[in-house]
Amino acid sequence: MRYNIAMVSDFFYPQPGGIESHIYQLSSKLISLGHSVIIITHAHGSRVGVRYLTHGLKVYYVPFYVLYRESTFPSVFSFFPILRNILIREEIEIVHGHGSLSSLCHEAILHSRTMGLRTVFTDHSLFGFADPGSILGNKMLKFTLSDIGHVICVSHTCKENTVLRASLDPVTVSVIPNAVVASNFRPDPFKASSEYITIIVISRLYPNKGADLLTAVIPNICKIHPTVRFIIAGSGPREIDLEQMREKFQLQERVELVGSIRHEDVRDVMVKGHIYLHPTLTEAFGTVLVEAASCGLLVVTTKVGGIPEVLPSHMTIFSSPSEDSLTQSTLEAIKLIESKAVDTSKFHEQVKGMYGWHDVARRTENVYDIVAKIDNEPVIDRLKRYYGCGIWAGKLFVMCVVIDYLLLRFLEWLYPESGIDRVRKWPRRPIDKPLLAGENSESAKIESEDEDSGLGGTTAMP
Amino acid sequence: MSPTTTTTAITSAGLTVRRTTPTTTAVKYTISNKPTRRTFGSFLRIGYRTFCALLFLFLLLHRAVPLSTTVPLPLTHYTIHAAQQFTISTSSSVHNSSIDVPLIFAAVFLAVSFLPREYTEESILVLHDFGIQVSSTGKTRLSRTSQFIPLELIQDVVLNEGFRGFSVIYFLAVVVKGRGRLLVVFPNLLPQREILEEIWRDIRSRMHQHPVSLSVGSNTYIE
Repeated sequence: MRYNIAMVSDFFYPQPGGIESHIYQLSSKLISLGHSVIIITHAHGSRVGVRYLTHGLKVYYVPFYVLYRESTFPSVFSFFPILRNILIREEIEIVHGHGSLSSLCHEAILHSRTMGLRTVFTDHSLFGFADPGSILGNKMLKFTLSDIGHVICVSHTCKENTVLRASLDPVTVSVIPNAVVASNFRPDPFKASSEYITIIVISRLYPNKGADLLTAVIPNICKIHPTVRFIIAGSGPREIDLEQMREKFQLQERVELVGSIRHEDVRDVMVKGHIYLHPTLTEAFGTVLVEAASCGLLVVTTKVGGIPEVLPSHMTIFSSPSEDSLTQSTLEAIKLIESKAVDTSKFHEQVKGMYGWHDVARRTENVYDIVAKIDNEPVIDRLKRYYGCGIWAGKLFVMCVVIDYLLLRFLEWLYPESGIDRVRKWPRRPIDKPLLAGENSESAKIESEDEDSGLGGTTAMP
Repeated sequence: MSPTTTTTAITSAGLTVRRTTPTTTAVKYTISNKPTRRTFGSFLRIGYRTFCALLFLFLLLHRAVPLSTTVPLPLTHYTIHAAQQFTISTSSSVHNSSIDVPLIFAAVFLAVSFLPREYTEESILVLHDFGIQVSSTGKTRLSRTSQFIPLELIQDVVLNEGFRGFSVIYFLAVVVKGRGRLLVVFPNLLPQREILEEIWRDIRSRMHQHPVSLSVGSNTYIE
């Protein structure tokens, strides 16, 4: 079954990040599986309008007010008119939202459900329960996920977290981990120095990402082990603390601060090292660990969040998120590298076999198959779900949904569906079946039947 | 035998699309939202305009020719009375230098009622090997803006999508070298995708075709 899918999120290219590349890679692979995918995001700077990425991936940069860190203003209804127009003209069947912090995603899910479309939500991060920001955020998530087709989480820990935050039935939540493009992260054993053990750290230098832990651990390791070197890439508020630590302990030659780097340059930084250090205090999945293992680095990481699910135990050394434990684990890793007890040259092939975007796309396709079979329930049943969200919140949410329906009727009168031009879709690709052992690529590609989407044939565009 | 061939189509949105080929190497698409059906309202409007035109003509004649020689009309009595009221001198012929208020009143009245154009008409004329001319009409019956772009300055003619208010629409645009902005064809009418596709294909095929045989002296072009 081929679907018309819309990915909605505030977070997309040109802004770099994990969610952004996840959306892009997943969409590309879904297109190669024969589906039609568009992406809806808000305008970034002067980038407004309709753009095309490779393989006909269409991106709508909607002019919208950006509030903080590329997340748009959380108004509940203002996105409806333009979203309805885009969903109708593209003949969308499934709306897939990404990111709990993206207000565009929440709005899109609400409005698509009002219009009767199927929805899927992917959660990429972990959240707490105690602080006021989390409480409000979780209530918002509960609102959105009261009526959703299916939820995807990137790890089992993330699934637990999301189920608890939004009070979901775990059956409606699937775990589909992230993946990496392994060919972009090939090891190069000659790049790393043979005299010093080099430890790489690539992270945003925020306290929750472990920058404070890093600042504490580096001097200890450098004191105990006289020849180890550090390369730290990334920027953030704790960069100053790292520089001060470097000055204080006279580690200028041994600790190199590269600053922020682009995602394309990550591999070049990684191959310069032997060990990858990940001192984070919270992590839903940790794609960077997979990237590091693919580059042939031994991974030392704190055992938090979804990290234990990511790599097999022979590739990682775990520690608890405390200074002593992390120092201990790092020294253990250095010893293993020095004594050549670990052979990191095989890591790349193993990682290539474990993670691939094609696999993620196939599993996501299964989720879409599940979602497509769900029938739309009557409005009153839908309102009942929202009513159960809380004593006060339930009533508020029901009111929001009712206003949404009234808004839909109003928009149907103001901008009738007959006045909206349907889009001519990018020609569908032949279905790409995954290569089995021994098959070559010619026999694996299957020509698809040309499903007429009602636009007069799949003649190519210009 | 006229070489011009015209095809007209009426779209679902009430737009009239007319395609003419003034010469074998030129094609002109004219799109207008002029109402094609005669409704009662349009009759009223036509009647009103005719009345204003006749009134203007009458007042002009009334001023240009002295009263005694005009054909007595039922309205003459009224106009004499009005003229006597408003003109400074008692004689009602045109050679006095008084401010002719009725005439001014009539002229303004007619300008307001006759000159506005209720419909918009926009066109694109494609001259093979020469250029493209786009034009659109304005608010009054006398105004029309046209723009010619020579072939050397045309980088491409594209069918693009863009945001307009709360919707995303298709529009036909010319990418002109040296200008930062796209030149939108049919900027006020903005017809639907089907019409634009047809026009776009026609323009592209004409811009990229080369005459297969060109024999001097016999003007044969094979399209």
